[in-house]
Amino acid sequence: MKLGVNESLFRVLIVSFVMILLWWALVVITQVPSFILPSPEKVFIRLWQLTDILYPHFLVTFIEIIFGVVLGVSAGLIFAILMVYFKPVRLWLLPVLLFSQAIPVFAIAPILVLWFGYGIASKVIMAAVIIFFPILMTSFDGLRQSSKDYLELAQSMQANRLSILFRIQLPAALPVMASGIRMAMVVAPIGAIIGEWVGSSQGLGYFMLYANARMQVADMFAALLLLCLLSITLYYIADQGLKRMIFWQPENTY
Amino acid sequence: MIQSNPLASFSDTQDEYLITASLKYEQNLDYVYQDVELRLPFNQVTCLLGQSGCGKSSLLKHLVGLHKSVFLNKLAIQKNDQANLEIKSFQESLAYMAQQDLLLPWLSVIDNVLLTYDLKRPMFTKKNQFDPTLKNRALLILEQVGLADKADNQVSTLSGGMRQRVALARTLIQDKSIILMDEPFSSVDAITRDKLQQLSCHLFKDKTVLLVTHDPLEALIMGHKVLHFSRHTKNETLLKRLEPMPLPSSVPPRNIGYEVSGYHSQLMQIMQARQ
Repeated sequence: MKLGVNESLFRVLIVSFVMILLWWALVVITQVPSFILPSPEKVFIRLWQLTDILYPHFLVTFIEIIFGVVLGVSAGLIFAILMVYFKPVRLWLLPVLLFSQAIPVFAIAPILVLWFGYGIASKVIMAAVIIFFPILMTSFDGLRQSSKDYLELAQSMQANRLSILFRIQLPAALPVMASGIRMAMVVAPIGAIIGEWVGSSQGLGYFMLYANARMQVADMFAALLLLCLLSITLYYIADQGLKRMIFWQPENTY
Repeated sequence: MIQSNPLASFSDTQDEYLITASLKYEQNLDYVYQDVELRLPFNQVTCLLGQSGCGKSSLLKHLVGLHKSVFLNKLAIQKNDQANLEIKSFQESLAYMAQQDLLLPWLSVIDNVLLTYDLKRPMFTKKNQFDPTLKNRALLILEQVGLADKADNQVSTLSGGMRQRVALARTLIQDKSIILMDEPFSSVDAITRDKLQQLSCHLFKDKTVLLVTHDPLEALIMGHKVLHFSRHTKNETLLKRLEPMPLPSSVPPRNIGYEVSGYHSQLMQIMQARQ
């Protein structure tokens, strides 16, 4: 397990290094003006110079993503449980949810900002909304697919529903739910950033818009780099945590 | 003079459950079975023999109480032809063993054995607070099935036969007087199956066992009584009933040998004839 973590981290480092190298080569070869594509060293220098300014923005976006993930995952899970246990909920809620997913999140972003204000709340909800559906569907599928035979065994043992849910169905659904959670970790930053673009006074998304307006492309890239780093780190933490939770499933599929 | 069968007179004094059951999944479907009568002698193994799709597994699940949301599920249980027993108390005194081992992959072997108690543990309490006597009992039972040294293993490290033995231990620890088994050994190889059959006969010797099987040989090895789930037509309606099958007079578990083989072919012929 330990070796696996180091190995994948090593691969990520190699890939990032190669990409930065390609980026740098592109800038050197094509001689693009730096207001179109700044060279990596310029971006890194700006990142270093702007640390104090970027930090609070980074923190805000980080908090938005974390709260958004927590909210989205819990809401998705709760609705999935309700849908599994109560047939009317399943029959009536599913079309509503599908309809809600048909509306692009970008389109409702201004409304959310209008309702929940310029602060963190609207971005948290934005991130939660964008991950809600994948979490709901994977949890629903996971819970529904948990083999009927296990439930019958538990029923023969006169176990109550709650105990069956928490001690058999949820752990059994975890491998399927995990893919939803992994997806959520990557998608949640999109929600937060869109929210910030539509209306905010802090956060990395806000900073990028601000830098863009002033043609400070290197600053934009610095913020973008930070955002990438944040997303990738969150994904890896979630991935490793999930793997540890689902220790019984061997990784022999690829 | 009519010679009395020693087994028959024995079973006269024998306590037994008389179960009458009807099952229909949906209104416009046929009955799976209607007023079918099943006699379960106490502390004996009764085998329910039948082909796939005859309704034998349905009957077993019906007894366990798993057909709650079907169109019609009538069940009446009497003890020695007396007044009806309460179904719930019957269902509380049975343990069910399914076709698959149904071990939970995230639990260790001993935790799988203790699943019944784990499911009854109140919410929001820690798992590792099992009563030490309970844990000792689990270890004792694991020893009986020959897996004492595997208690803390992950179940994914076990072979198919070992997994079935864990399932056997999980059934046994519930300490119920009735055991209902649904083809529990159909997925293991012939040698392992034979061992498991002998072992479970030994372990279940003071239990009232109903074993559903499609294998006449299994019924011959394990059964004190073998009933064939067969269909017959009466007044142009298809009915199902349980008909007793011939058995060697020896006490199970019987070894596979000349006698059992003879009965095996006899049972096969009867089953083919009734098809």
